[in-house]
Amino acid sequence: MVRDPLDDPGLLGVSSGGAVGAALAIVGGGITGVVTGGLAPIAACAGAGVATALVLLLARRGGRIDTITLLLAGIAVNAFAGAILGACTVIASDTQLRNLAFWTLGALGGVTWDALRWIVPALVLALVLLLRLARSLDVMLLGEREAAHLGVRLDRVSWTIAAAVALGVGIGTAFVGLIGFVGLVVPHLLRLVVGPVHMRLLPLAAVAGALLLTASDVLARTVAAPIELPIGVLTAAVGAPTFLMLILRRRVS
Amino acid sequence: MLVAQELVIRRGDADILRGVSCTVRPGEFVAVVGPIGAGKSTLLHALAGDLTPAAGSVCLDEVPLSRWDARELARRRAVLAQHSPLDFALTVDEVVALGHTPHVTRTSNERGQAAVIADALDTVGMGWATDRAYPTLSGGERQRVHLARVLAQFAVGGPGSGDAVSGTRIALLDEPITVLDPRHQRVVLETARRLAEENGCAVLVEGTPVFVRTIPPARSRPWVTHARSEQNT
Repeated sequence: MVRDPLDDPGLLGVSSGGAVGAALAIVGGGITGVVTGGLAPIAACAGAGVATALVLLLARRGGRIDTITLLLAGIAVNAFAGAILGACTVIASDTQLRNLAFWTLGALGGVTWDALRWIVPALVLALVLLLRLARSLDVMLLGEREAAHLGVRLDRVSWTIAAAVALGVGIGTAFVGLIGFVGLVVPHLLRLVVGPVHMRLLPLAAVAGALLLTASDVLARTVAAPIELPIGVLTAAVGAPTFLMLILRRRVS
Repeated sequence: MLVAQELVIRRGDADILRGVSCTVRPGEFVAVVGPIGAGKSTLLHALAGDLTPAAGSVCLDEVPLSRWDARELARRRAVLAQHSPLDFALTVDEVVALGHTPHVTRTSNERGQAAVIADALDTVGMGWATDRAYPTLSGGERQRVHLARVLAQFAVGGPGSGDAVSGTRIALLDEPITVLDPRHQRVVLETARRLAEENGCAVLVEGTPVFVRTIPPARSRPWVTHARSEQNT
């Protein structure tokens, strides 16, 4: 939607929005004594939703999304989210602190069969929403004005995508924390192989992302055994240089 | 019939267009000619419904553009912009297929769409490039691919698709031939004229009046915009 092949929810602040939502739910829930079982995922989706809406509104100029403003808005949202997370760590109890550390580093260990009751419906719904819009997304590759000329209702499509992204990213963040760079590298590399047509790209990206994440998890658990590395550390260590390489490649071409 | 009445387009404090009225009837092929900065492209975008007029109105078949359903309007009106921001590695036939989107329904068949795409590409002399990646094309080739996309937007679905369009159809082309060599300029102008003859109309914007002579004179008439476009017809 933002017509930039090198964007991802981590850069745009959507993931940290989700993490803030979850953190507030944990700490706030602890303080007020509310049972937090189902609250964290919902709060994470809400946080991701707020962050998505915020960066999109900030980056919209006369019906167009300006990439530079979008990235700057992402930086601002990330910084603000960092501040809230920081504040949460100060007022958190010891157990809550452990949970928070888990959120900022990311780990698949928290995903139980019980958690799948939340994750599976949310991710299926997000994917279905996006696949229904695959053709509109293709048309939007031509440019926003061109898409409008071809009958795409830009506002409706934009907000549906934002909702699907908030849902998918929020629920993901709620259970596995912040795992960076998978959402950036996978679609980008896949686009080089299968092309940008979304009906092909979206399902393949979902599968490839899952494969990469599972492989990373296996690696994270074994590479320094008996210590289990946080998976977010691993994906960032590999993803950041890959990201740099993609940027440099783009500058050459 | 496309009718603009007392159109005012404002950007900041400046009136880009002030009180422009014009009418395009089915079958007409109109050229908007004028110096750089006269507001030709602005007029075209106003007629396309991209710009909200500060005053006045643009109506297609007596309904203001803002009241049209987006998809229904897309089946009637196509726009070829001066520059395309497209830089994703779609293949040429994928780009043209996107133009056919307003006609695609659950019942349309793949073969009918493929025929529409092949036909559109042949018309602009790009039939050889079907599988080429769009970013590898030259500027003139890209422009012709986008013209083929406009043609695909006008092509109704094949038999059995239940697809039909009635009423005025209009093609708005912003400097479609500036980057082309003379042979392809002729191809593009011929194509635009044919669109106009098949119960549509075409409006074309061009900076220099030289090309007007190359358009077959039948049923075409040039408009001349003056600087600041206070008057045209």
